[in-house]
Amino acid sequence: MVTGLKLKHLIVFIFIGIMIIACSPTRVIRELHYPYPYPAPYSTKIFNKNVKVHMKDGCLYMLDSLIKNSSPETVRGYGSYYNQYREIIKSNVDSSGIRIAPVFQIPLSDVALFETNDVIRATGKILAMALIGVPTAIITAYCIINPKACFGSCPTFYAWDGVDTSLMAEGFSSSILRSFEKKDIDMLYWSKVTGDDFRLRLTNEALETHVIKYADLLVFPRANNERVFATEDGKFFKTSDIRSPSTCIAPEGDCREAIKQMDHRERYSAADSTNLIQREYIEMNFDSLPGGKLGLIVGCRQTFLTTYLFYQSLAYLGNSAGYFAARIESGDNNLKKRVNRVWEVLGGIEVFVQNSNGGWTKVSQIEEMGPIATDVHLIELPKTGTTTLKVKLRLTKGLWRIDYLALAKLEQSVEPIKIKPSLVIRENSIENNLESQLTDTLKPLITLPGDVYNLRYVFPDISKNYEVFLCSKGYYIEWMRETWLAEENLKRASLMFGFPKLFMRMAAVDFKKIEPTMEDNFWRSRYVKKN
Amino acid sequence: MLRRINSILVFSVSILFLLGCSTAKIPMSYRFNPRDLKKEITGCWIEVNMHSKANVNPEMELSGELVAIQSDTVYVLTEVQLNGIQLNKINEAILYIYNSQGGKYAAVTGLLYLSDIIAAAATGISTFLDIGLPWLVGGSIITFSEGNNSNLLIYPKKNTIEDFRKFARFPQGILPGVMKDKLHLILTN
Repeated sequence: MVTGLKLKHLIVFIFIGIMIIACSPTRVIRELHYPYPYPAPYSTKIFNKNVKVHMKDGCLYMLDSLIKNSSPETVRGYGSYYNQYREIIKSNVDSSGIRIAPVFQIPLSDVALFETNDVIRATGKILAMALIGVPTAIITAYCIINPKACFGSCPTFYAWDGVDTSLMAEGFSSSILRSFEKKDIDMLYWSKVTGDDFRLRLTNEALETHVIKYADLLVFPRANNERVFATEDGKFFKTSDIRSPSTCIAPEGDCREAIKQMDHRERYSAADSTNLIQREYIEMNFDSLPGGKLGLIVGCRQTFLTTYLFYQSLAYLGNSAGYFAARIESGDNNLKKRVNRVWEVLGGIEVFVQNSNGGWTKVSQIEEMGPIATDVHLIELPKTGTTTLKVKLRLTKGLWRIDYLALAKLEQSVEPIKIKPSLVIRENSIENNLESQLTDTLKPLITLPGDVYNLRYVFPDISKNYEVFLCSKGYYIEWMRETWLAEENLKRASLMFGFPKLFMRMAAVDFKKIEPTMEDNFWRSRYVKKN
Repeated sequence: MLRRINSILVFSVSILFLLGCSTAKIPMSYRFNPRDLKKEITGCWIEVNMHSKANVNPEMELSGELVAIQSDTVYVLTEVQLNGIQLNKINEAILYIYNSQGGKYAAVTGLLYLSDIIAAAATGISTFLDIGLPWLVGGSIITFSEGNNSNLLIYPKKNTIEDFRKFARFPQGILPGVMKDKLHLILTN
């Protein structure tokens, strides 16, 4: 967060600086100089630059440059000579500035005035416009060509973090059809509850149709030093004594700085250049363990690799995408399994613990999809009977961005208070009673690109501090883009869904071409909505 | 979103209209680009208002090229003739040093933002409007900064008549050898 804030401030500072420079109006400074005494103190201002020489008879020399003569009686120059009526008499340079005739020798005694013109601040404005305009144009063009990389996917939720309204969660990213519909629990890690009124901003920022059956809050009263985390199987634990690993070693070396706090500083790696499912390991040591049951806290999100593959699959299916989607929706389980298989070969974050024999035991796996919002997961760890703990994560290179790794002492298991939205308001609309659509699963809330909803929840007891989770359920339907149809290739689609491991090797080259810019372009183009 | 797009379009067109009409009366060859001033062979364009507040007479308004300022006379060349105007008859004089660049900045700002408007309208994603917002704000500020009459000399409100002299065709004054009836506006460069 520190880096993010500094960068944000730097950008604002540069923007203000440019604006201050650019805000001063353009000025033209015209100066007239008498020819005598010669050479005069002003001489540096008139030599070697564009000068107009006004003659005593009203004629005019317009010179590209005025050249000092060794003789004080004359000055020389190249340009054009006009009479009093501004008809051109002679020119010793052509239109491209090439000298075509002897230099003008101008007697100083015939000169009335030298005129110089300087334009100031015009360049600053052009520079300012270029500095703001070029990135804007690039981002706009990139987002038009590749909207997914800019606008993400899935219902996106924003909440108050104590300073600002910020991105907190994305709902059911893997629910790409009705048959993949599922419940999703996301921790609103940074949310701050003030009073009994809690607001969520729900947006559809992609070319998708979102079908949302519910978006409930699961809240837990807690003490100030306590935090509540959720396990993959939907259990909630109050935790205490949260501590960072004493060492954290990834293939690139020590990554402890990146993972010791939930601060948007993330540990991530690039995908393998020959195989998109190449795995890597991160090993952690925890010293002087607290007594009791322990859990590993993992704050993470995916990279845009899954987004790329999802889009690519739709592009390969092209005009047949609707047909295959309909088959899955009609109960073709074989096809559904093939889709799932693609995500399975990518894999989740597998968690291993070293047992007393030195062997590694797999404990659990984090599989939550979605590249936009970091979610926090709790993995219950078995008792090892040792005073130190070694934990290993196995994950696909270039697929995960890990923000936070820590060990916590698990206190008691707790049950949430479920709160349904009491008021749902659609922005720029007069629709009412929308909350019924998030409470009756038979009448879901359907959102289209650009839709923004404000969800209000009433908390039971304002005197308490709460941990807040979002529990949403639904699915979304991605819209086919015109540009994707050009990539239709059913053979490739067959390879992807029939032999996903082989496909991941073949797709590596193409993905590596856009991998470096996907994340940056997404965040640079994004405009986090405010309440 | 449509309402927002409409507001932005109305705002942009208004700016362009306002900036465009301020110099509409000046011949093209006298609308100097600031960078080209060093290569202009004529004086700057001037509008002289000789109205008395009590007796408004449209015929007393004169606009043309500033040819010279000599003692108490301002020489203005119109399409018809060279006019010498006594300084004490001038109610107000405005000299256009260069053509304000505000219109150009507004046009560039509007055209680039148009791509965001089209993208937003075509895709239905209003975020495109937000992407271009820094550009729209920056471009508008730069446009308005050019619109504060910094390209003008205004007598007697802002400037003395002496300030006008160096923007005349003959800053040294009209010499006796110059045939005044032969002077003419340079209407094509």
